[in-house]
Amino acid sequence: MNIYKLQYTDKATGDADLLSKGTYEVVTEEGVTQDVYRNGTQAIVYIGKIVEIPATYDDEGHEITLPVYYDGVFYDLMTTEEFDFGINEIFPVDCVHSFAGYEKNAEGTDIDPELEEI
Amino acid sequence: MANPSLQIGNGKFAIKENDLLGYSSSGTRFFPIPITMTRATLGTRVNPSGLIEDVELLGSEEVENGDGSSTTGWDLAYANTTLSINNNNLRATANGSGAYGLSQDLSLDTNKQYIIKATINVDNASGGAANLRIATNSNLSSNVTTLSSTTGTTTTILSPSATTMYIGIVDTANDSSNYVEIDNISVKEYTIDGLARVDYTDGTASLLVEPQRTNLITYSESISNLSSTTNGTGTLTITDNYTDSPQGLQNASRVQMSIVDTNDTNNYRLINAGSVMITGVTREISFYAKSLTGSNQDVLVYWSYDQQIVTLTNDWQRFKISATSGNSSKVFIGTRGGSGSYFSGGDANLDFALWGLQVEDDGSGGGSSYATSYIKTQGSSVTRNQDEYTKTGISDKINSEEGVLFLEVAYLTQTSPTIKEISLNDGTNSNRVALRLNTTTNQIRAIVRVGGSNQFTVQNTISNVTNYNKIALKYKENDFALWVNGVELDTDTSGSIPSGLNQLDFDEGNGASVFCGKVKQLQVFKTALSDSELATLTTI
Repeated sequence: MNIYKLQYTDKATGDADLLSKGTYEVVTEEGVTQDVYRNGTQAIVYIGKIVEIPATYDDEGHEITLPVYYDGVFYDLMTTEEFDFGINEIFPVDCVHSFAGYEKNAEGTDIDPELEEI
Repeated sequence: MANPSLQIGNGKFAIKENDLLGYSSSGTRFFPIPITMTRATLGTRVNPSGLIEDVELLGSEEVENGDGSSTTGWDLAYANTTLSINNNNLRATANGSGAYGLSQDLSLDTNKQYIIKATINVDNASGGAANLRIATNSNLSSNVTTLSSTTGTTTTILSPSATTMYIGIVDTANDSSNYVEIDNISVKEYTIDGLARVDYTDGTASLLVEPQRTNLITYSESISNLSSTTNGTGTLTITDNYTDSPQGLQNASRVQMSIVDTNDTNNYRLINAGSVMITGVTREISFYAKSLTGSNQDVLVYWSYDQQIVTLTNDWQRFKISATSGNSSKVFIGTRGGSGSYFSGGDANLDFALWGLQVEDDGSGGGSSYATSYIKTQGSSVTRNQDEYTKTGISDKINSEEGVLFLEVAYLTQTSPTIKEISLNDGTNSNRVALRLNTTTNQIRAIVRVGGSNQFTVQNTISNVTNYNKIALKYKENDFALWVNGVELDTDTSGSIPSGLNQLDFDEGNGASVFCGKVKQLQVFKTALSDSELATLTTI
């Protein structure tokens, strides 16, 4: 199994790149549009922005100061196929997202459910 | 009534070599029909005992005498070691200075995963590097993975780096008084992906088929790792691993909190579940909780700009809250003084158990209108992939001239943003016989399509699609009918039927409209059953 960590400038760019690589297809039937995974895609997870410096909140839970985010938006792709995502592929050391049964920081090709305290 | 040519469930669920076993029957004989299941991640279910568990497949035991009954199979990791059995523990005692220990070689498959469970005692070690290891040499020094360095029980999932590996315990001893022990150790092949989930949430077996979901809470069990928000006089103590959870394991947290002034909005003790809400999006909050005081307790759950008070009893309950946020906000759980605001309420003194905290995202950054099964997290958000089922090459099980597709099914939601379908098809969605949940509330639909043209299509709103309903679609040239719960809802006497039907999919046949729901039974008949037979088949 392959897990790719991806970074794009924005969601439109990310969606377009994943679509162009054939990881999913947009299907519209009888007025209902849906994204359908293709070509070995097991899951596409849109993580969105990742916080670098957390926001501050008042005691009602509202933001007082906005968080500081890393540039762009982020995706995790799990697939049986190999892709070249070029500069959009990143290699974080402390991931904010993982797949159930896989190591928190699992990424790259030929990833198996791996050394993980459970 | 004719026997179904293919069945799933109906009280007879089985899994073999990762496949869900469908079956056909003749008299008292059953013939297995493996159904391919795809989900590349771990999933959980409620087992027949009512406990939540990971769905896993374990192989045979790889360790010889891992229960401490004998030293047979174990070797010295270092020469200055004495092996013995002490109170059913496997003990390695230093008989000189320097490292000592014991190990056993294992023949493993590098393409598979293994689960290692062990209980060790290193209290009488040298105080140096005493630990349980797996490595590629007998003295546990090459390509080492340290499994545990503390007395107690540990569980690890391992992908072996070599076909021959050694597992054992070693210590860098200073004198001959040191010893280390293995109480018990087990290594078994471990499969988590592609496993069907037969779930007993309702007390009876059903096939649980769920969409992709992400639990946004970063610590779903070790609640003390979440931050807290406090103000004014009061207390807040969280003790992890305090009591048995709905898993039957001692991994639920105890939450003790108090405030002194229930009229003061600035007096609060709250668990801060994190920034998991976004403006205008509905996300399902869920958690398991029970009172630890012997009495019911009210707990406040709030987010911007709404709240819910949940009443805990002495029994575990799963609370599910559909929360739509008006702001980018956090979710808080606890107690807060004041009145008249969405962020006030809860008992002033709380003592309760909490486990399995979950806020779900559908994976696209969007919402989730209903709670799905538990997804454990431990330091990050975690995604469970979509369940998918397919069976190809069954043209002998499907009659392309006439037949019946029958489901006993409960959908996961009354209103779905996407269609959910099960179909008999030819590998495309152009030729198929299908039953689906429409996007309109509680509306089911039957479809027979030939060459991309609908021959029979009817839709009906029934009382509640999240209850189990028995639904049958009869198809035959110029003779179609939809039956639900013993009643014929629609018929059509005009239309052709598709040829070349050769597979069953929990989607349209082209990967779209993936089914989600709970299936008690699915049956495929090669004959168009009579009205009386369909009435009998579908009567609840």
